[in-house]
Amino acid sequence: MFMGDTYMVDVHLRGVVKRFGKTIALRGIDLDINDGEFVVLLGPSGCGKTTTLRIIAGLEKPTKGKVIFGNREVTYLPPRERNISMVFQSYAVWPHMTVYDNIAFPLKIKKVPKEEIDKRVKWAAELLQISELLNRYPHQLSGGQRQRVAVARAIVVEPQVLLMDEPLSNLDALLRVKMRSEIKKLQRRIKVTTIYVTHDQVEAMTMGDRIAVMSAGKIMQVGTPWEIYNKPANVFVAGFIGSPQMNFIDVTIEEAQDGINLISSDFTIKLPQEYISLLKDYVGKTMILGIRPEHMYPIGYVPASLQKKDKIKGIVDFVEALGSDTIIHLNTGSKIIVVKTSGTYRPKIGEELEIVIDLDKIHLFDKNTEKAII
Amino acid sequence: MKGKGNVIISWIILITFAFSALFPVYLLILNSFKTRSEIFSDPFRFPKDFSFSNYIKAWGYADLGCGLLNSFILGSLSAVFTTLIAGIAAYALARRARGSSYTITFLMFCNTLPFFIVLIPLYVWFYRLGLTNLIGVIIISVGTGLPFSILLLRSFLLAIPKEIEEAALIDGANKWQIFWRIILPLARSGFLTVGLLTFLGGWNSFTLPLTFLTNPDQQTAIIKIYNLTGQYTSPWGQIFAAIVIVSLPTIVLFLAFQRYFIQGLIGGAFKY
Repeated sequence: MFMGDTYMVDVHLRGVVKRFGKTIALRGIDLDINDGEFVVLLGPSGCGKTTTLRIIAGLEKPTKGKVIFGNREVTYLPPRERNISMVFQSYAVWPHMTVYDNIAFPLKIKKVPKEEIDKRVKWAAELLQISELLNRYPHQLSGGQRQRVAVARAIVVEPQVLLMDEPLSNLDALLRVKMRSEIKKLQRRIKVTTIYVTHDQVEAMTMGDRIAVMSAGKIMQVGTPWEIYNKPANVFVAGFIGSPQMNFIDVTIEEAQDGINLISSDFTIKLPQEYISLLKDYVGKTMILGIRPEHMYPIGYVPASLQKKDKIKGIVDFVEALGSDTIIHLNTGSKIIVVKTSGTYRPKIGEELEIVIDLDKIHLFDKNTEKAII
Repeated sequence: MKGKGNVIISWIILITFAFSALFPVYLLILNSFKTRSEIFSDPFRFPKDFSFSNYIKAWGYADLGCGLLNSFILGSLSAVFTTLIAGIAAYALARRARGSSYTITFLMFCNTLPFFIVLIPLYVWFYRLGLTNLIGVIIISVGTGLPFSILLLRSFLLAIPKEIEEAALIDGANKWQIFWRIILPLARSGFLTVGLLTFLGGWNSFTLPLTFLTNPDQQTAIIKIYNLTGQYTSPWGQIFAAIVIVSLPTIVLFLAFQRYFIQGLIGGAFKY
């Protein structure tokens, strides 16, 4: 909970388009973010996620479209009239000010009384565990500590919306994991509407209440981490989320007596009867079959609970032993299929392997639209 | 071995340069305490007794008090106005205001233009405007110093990441607050360098005040020293003493701001 009252607000983007000269950065963004929600904008470099965040912040004006906070349209308001805070990738702490002055700066600008400033700065510093650093200058701090200062400065004003632009990307791997959970806990504690930009899918999956996956200036899917992982809306989302990446295989749909056959150049997978109604429009056509590496099992490692399954065969082409997991690259003839299995399993290169596929976890995408059908 | 050799060569070069710079200063100070005959008999010899009579005479005859005050007014006002105007202009150019690239090209052109080309036309204009006085000299000093100062400060401000400013903008600061509270302190050494260079330029300038300042009450210290020289004979002891007096404030100023000055000249080389 914030020190005083909470001022959460819901954020809405309506048809936001942004052009930089001839380049179109955003091609019509529609997004609704509920108050107190932690939404992650996820996507590869250049997909428009930072531009979206900067438009919400008021640092960029959209070419078209609206930005609405609660019932108030803020599209053309300057940042200071939006009651927001932002944590930048480079932290952007001011090197000539002490930690205390950095955190106090937004309050001083707002002409908050001195005693109140002192109270709030100490509250934010305590929350971020940097109370003992208040008299230091940024050059005397580590990257992680500077990051905490930036977050403290962002929350001290009790913003309606907290914006974070890849705040962890400059930290080392271990510190990133630590700060990930700390930021998430902090957000839960102060319940501020948070929009977080990252290209790191692990960050997005672990931190976001919902994730908006973006590509080429468009939102490809908005959903909970579970939905994004288990029910990807299209080939892009399916391929972007998950490591190693989902296997994509072109298959022809053929109706059989007791089900549907998915025929690829190397193997045939048989789906049970219940899929007939779902795929009847695609019979005779080519679709994209998507199977996650972790939803395929070598014989002997198949979970007992698996009900709908089928097998494919291949030759082990390459093995990556990661300790906890083993990644097998299986040559099925004309394709390499990646399988992720237990770290205790170590097949030999050149060995023939039979792999069981969990049919409940497969995805089928329309070849033309790349949209998910199953 | 190679490293040690390099160090020795560096030292030899540095000592040679230091000697060639400091030896004339040594001679200047030494001879400022000598009588006229002592200077002409052997300029390298120590004086028989260190007498301040040259200093006292120079102060009186050259009216150095008035000259130093005028030099200070010229240097400091030029420095204040140049830094202020150059700072604002450099900030706009560093943040790519409309027409920045054309302005930068124009400033570079101005920077390469020899001052003597415009001296006579300027004198004619300023004479007509009644500005052949200290105010006129200050205006011209500021004007001629601006191109270099703007370009120097711009390179300094370019090194400040945009996010540093945007963070302040998000926190509610307006453009002026950002300039005064964030940009100015961060580019402090750049601003101090421009200020110091302009002050020294004004303090040491000769041609401009010599041309424009005909009223003795407005003449700067350098002109006052020049006035000591005669057509057939010059009081060298007094001239040397006056030069020492006039040099002292600039040496003190440089020593006081040396740290910022060096930082300013390597502007942008440190990380934010």
